[in-house]
Amino acid sequence: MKILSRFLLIIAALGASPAVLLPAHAQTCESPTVIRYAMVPLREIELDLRRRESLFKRMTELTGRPVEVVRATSYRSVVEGLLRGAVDVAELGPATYIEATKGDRQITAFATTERVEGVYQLRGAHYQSMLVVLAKSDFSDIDTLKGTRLALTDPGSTSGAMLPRKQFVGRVGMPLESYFGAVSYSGSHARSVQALVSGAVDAAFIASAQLEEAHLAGKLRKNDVRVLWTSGPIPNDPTVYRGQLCEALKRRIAEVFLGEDAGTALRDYMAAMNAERFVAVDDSLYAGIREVLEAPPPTGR
Amino acid sequence: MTTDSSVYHGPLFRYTDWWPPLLIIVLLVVSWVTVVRRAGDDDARAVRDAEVIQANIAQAVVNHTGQLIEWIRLFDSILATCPHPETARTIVNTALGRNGAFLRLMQFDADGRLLMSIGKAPEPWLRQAAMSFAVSVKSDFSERIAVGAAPAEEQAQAWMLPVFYRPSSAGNSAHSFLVVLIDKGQFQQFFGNIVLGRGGEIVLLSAEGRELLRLREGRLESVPPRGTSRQLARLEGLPGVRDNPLVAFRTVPTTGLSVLVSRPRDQVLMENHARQSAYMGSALLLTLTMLALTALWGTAAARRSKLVHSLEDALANNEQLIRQIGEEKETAYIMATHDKLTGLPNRMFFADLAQRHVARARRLQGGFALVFIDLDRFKPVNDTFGHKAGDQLLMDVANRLRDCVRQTDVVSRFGGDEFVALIGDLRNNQDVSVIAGKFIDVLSRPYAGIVPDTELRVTPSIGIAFYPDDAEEIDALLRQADMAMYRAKERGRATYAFADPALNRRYELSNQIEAALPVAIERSEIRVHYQPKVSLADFRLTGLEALARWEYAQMGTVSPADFIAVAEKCGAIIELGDYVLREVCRQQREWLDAGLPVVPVAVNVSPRQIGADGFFVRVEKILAEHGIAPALLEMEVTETGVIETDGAFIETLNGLAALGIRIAIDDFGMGYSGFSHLRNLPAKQLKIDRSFVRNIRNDVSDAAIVSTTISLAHNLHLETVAEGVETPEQLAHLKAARCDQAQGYLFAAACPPAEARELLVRGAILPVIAAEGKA
Repeated sequence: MKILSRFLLIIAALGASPAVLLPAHAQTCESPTVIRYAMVPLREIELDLRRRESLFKRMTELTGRPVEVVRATSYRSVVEGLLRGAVDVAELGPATYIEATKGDRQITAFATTERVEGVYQLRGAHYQSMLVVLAKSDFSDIDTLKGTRLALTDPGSTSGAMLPRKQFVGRVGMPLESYFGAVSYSGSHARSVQALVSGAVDAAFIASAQLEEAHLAGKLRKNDVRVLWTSGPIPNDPTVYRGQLCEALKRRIAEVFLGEDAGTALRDYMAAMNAERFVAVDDSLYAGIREVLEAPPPTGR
Repeated sequence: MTTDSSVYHGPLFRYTDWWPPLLIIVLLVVSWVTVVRRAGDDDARAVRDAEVIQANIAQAVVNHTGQLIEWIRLFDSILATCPHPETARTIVNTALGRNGAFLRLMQFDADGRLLMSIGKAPEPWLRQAAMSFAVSVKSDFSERIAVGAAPAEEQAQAWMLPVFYRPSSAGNSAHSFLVVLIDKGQFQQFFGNIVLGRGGEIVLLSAEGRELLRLREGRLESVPPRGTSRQLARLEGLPGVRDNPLVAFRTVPTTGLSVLVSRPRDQVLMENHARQSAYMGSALLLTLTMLALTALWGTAAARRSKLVHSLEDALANNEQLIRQIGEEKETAYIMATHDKLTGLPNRMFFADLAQRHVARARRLQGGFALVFIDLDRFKPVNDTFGHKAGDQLLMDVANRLRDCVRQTDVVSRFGGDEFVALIGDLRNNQDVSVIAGKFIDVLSRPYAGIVPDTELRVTPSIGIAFYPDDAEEIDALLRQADMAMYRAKERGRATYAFADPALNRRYELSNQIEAALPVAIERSEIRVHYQPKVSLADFRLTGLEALARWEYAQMGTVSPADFIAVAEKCGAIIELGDYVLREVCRQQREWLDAGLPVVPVAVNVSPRQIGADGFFVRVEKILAEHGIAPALLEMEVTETGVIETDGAFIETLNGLAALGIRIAIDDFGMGYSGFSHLRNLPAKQLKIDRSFVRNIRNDVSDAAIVSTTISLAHNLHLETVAEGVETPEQLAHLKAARCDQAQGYLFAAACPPAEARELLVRGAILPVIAAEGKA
């Protein structure tokens, strides 16, 4: 009954915007009345929304459209949303970007951040996956971690799952599930930090940018963790839009991040993200990581 | 003895000292019993609570999963019923976007061929799974729901949970089915924050019991690489879990799916035990603290009670000391103020006490007497029987003296055999004479028990001085009394003397009379004279009053007033009275025998006489002896005597009156008895005192008294007799006042029996108008 009434509400809402109801290919390009925005879950979604208030405000100003946030429950849900045409603009991870473009080549990465150098974070447009343990634990190197409890973030996370499965398993010579006693997904980098600190897991793969954020938030002091493994540099998370959107709208969306006054308008957002500025990107930045991720799985035996 | 409540009088510990530690021990015992009993209860309760919580969580997951399936049914009906396929797809797509759980929706025909996909095209493994589902559901037409899984090697797609849905086809052979991909991350967002504790798991199982997702401690377990079901292995493999995990199991209606919420039992109990350990720790800490405090308290209490004991001892010592000092002081005071031997006040203290009496007497304008007592012949007692006997004698004397005086009087010992008594509140000097006589009487009695088989005898010599008559200073008074005492000694011991010479003369006289009277009676030296009573109507002789006259060789004629008073005092009045009575009767007999016209003769009787044993009988006997009719005898009783007597006296008077003896009230008007008192007496006659009669001419009030008395006496049927009538004026007055009879010099003085005989013969006496009356 509840679901039925919700359905009727949906019909009513959709009835008010015929454009949405029309088949996509009836037009040459899409120009939706709202901008549906999603981001892969790096932290608690409420926090993400608060940080982006200035961004959404700026986007509404430049595009003349309200921003509607699609609450993603996993990396995969953002990808599938983009592929269903249910999301217009999204912040992805490198691996999710690659996964999304496999389904729809029109999905375009147009901006990313350049970060400030920190305790864990490299300066610029790259970050790393890090295998960390608590500094007070007995785990001194990777070999001591055999049979322990490992936390990943999300199956679609580059640094929290994909790259460890591609690169780290080469180092230990067997799948993670075999090397570690128990492998589980925490759901986000922030939750992985939490699980590690609380002792629920012994080790976790966490992005250097997220470690830095936890450090800055006071959740992780500099000497609280020990880094036992570091991946190669990973290009920073791309912000994408769907290629089906009309060019004018695409330009305006890009201008929100890359326009001359973006630094001023998005200052709060960038400070929260520990970012120096937004820079324009194209698919070529992710060619290297695509090559790594699409390589055949290491035999490892 | 002090009763100060701050002073500790109890034992080392009082019960009030013990109740605080006892209370603490009882509290501790109760606390521990509670803690231990609760520990047992807590385990069961913890398990029950955990089971309830798990059941609730399982139900929440079931509800959530059921709703997702409902959505899928809804999608199917939209797609099946909406006439415009494109519009239907748009609606469904929008609905998918609103619920983060749905990733993608695909529609396959009954043979497993893809009809459409909202979102990405199906991966090869999905196409294959759809084909398998199509084959498996082809044979029946009921609603079918199945949940599959991504192959283990597709790690990036591990969170895609494909749900195959084919509605019931109601007999239609070919019905398409939906494949909806559900995001496992959505489960994590919903249920990942539920705190189930270490090892807590939420597991979603397919109809075949295959593990679809496992949320362990809020994190989704990675699907095992081999793709085999680990569900049972995991449950059984973990130590402690296999024993007895706490499991809640719920199924999702109509789907075949089930939900398992489990926690290791030991984990639940461990948390409980941790809490209990905390309780126990607290209880232990509390116990130790309490015991430590109790021990401290006990030490302090012991120390305090020790201090209190010392204090108590010190106080007791002080008290005893104070008492001792007080006693010593009192003893010293007594020793300083009292005679050691007799316990009587000593000379110094006596002076002090006497001074107070002086002050009191001055204030009240009263007087007192100092009586100086010296024992005669005390020294021989001391010399003969020794000092011990002498001391004992003095003690006995002191006791006897003490018994003789009133509480307010003072008896003291001045040293040796000298005692001084202070007699206060005197009415007259006569009182002291009585007391002095008593002293002499009492002290002169033998002293027995001091010397074996011998009675000691001493007599006192007494000197008396009066305040303020003899002196106004104590020392002077003492000197006066001392000198008087020496006079008494000179007079011949066992006697007393006054400081005032006049008093001494009277005393000497009275002493002489007292000594001589019994002899005089015995030798009949007392003569009875007769004074006539005359009727005022006709001057006829109505009676004679017998009056005693004593011719004493050494002193000449002794005044009746003197010797009768002495006789009253010394008791000789009884003998004297009997003597007079007998003499009167003898005289009457003589006159009767001589044939004379006798008249009644009145005798004076004192109350002491009447009160003496056998008076009535003696009177009867004397009358009978002489053969005298009672009517010839009259008895005169003084008014004062009547007032001071009791019922027995009245009884005797009544008896005498009944015998026929006339009773007269003598000296009426002196005793203020009033007439009411006379009603009770058997009197026939009232004799008006001479003092009223004497002034009858000069004093108006006396004349009035006499007239009134006469008038009132007549009302009581009493005859009136005026005494001491000496002048014709008095006679005139009395006659005018209708007095019945008179007696006095105007008619005749008391005369010897020979002259009286003549009066009897004459029968009447005329007043001697010309001459001055002379007794």
